[in-house]
Amino acid sequence: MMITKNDILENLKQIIDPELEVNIVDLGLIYNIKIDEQNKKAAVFMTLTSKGCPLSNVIKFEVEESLKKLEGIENAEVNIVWEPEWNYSMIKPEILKKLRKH
Amino acid sequence: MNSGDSSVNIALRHIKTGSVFLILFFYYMFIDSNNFLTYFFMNTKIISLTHIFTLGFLLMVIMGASYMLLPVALGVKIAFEKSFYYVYYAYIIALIVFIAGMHYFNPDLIALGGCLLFASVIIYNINIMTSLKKIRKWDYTSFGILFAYVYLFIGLLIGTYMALSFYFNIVGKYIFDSLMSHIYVMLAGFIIMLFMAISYRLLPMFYMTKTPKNFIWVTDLILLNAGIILIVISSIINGFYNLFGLGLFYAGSILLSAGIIVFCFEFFSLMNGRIKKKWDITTFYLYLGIIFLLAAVFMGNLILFLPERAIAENPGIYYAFGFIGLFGYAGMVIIGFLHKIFPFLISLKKFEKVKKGAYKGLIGNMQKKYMQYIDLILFAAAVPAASFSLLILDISLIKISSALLIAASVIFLINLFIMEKSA
Repeated sequence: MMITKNDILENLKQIIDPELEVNIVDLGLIYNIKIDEQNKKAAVFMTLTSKGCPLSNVIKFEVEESLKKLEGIENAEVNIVWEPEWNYSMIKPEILKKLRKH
Repeated sequence: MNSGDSSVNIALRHIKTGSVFLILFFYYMFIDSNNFLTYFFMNTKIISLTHIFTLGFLLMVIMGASYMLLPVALGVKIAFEKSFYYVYYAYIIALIVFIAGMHYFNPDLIALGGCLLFASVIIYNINIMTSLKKIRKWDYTSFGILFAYVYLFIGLLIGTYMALSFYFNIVGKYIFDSLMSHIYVMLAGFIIMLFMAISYRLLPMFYMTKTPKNFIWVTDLILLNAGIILIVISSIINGFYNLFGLGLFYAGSILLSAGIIVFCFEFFSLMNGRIKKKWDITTFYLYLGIIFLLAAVFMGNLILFLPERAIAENPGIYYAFGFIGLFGYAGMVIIGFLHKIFPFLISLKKFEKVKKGAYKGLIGNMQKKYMQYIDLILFAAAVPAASFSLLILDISLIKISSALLIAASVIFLINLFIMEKSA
């Protein structure tokens, strides 16, 4: 069965930003996903909420591990990018609403 | 801890050591509370007590936390990470020698401790300054942090001069001016400037607030710097003994107060408009800290404008002012931020160890919430109580509030260990 970007996104929703307590997909941290079926490789292009994020290595590691757990993926690549710079408007509107309500 | 330890371990060690000094501070306050009844100026036991807090807790935690916070706030790596290991031990030895020297009034130990403290803190200071050189894009936070570390350097020089003046027996009338400069440069120049710069960067990250307006930043920097510089000039020209110098001191104090009020106003404005509305333990501590800072500004101005006679009759106002400004503000803000920083450090430590299944759950799950809130209530009740008891110089009340603060700081330390174990 072919793995899709949606499968990967669903899987990545398990990774929670520890400070904001929202998953990294709904936070809008995942910018792009490339799947190379032939080589069973997935590459994620993602950002972080801040450049100096102390948990950047931890989050990168977790994304890699999460990708490798998917059936059909043997190689995972995580690229941290800073363009465009992340901002609150990238958070899913319903999540933003929820944060404001608390 | 050894020289090959990771920065995470070193930061954790600083924070835990600082928390032990916090308990010692309140214990000393409890045991030796009668010292508050003796003449306050250059009272070496009070100086000893103050430095257990300022150097043992405040600077110790700042040194450890700067390992993690400076890269977060400025996006630069610490220049000489390994130097922290040597500084840590030299600093602890220096601090103990200095505190013992002040407590037993031994000029040799005071001078030795002072020189060792100078050497260890200057290495830390140079390390941070060198790290700042790597900043590519300077913004107001970077400038705020730079100013703070310049003030740390100046405050350190004045402090060392005073420590040596005990040894060379040159403690004269100039010591009062040096003392005033030392206090204002360290607390307003280093602590408030650093906390302001870090807060303006961390609040948007932790609570999704707006970033402060440039106008606010510039106003804050001008007012704080102008205030501190005028106070230092006043002390250089021996300001307490001539009208011009006294005028400079008053003008400096008023500018400083205005800068602090602008900062507090901006804090409330940013936090009220934050996107992440949830109140966590750090939010409570930060609000408490800012309220206590405003109380300290009020008391500081009261001291300025009350008749000298009224103050001479009640020196407790100095102690109350110092306590609420020092522990009420700086202590609460540090404890508040530690509730965020410590779990992060524990997570990183665990990640370094296992490199798999590294980070489970949320930071919040690591914390024993009921303990944190008991602690918060104790601190929130005990700080005003201790300030009031110092104001009226009631020894029984000082003892009761110190006992409450010992309990709160012990719970705080236990909480840190629980977090570390449960991670």
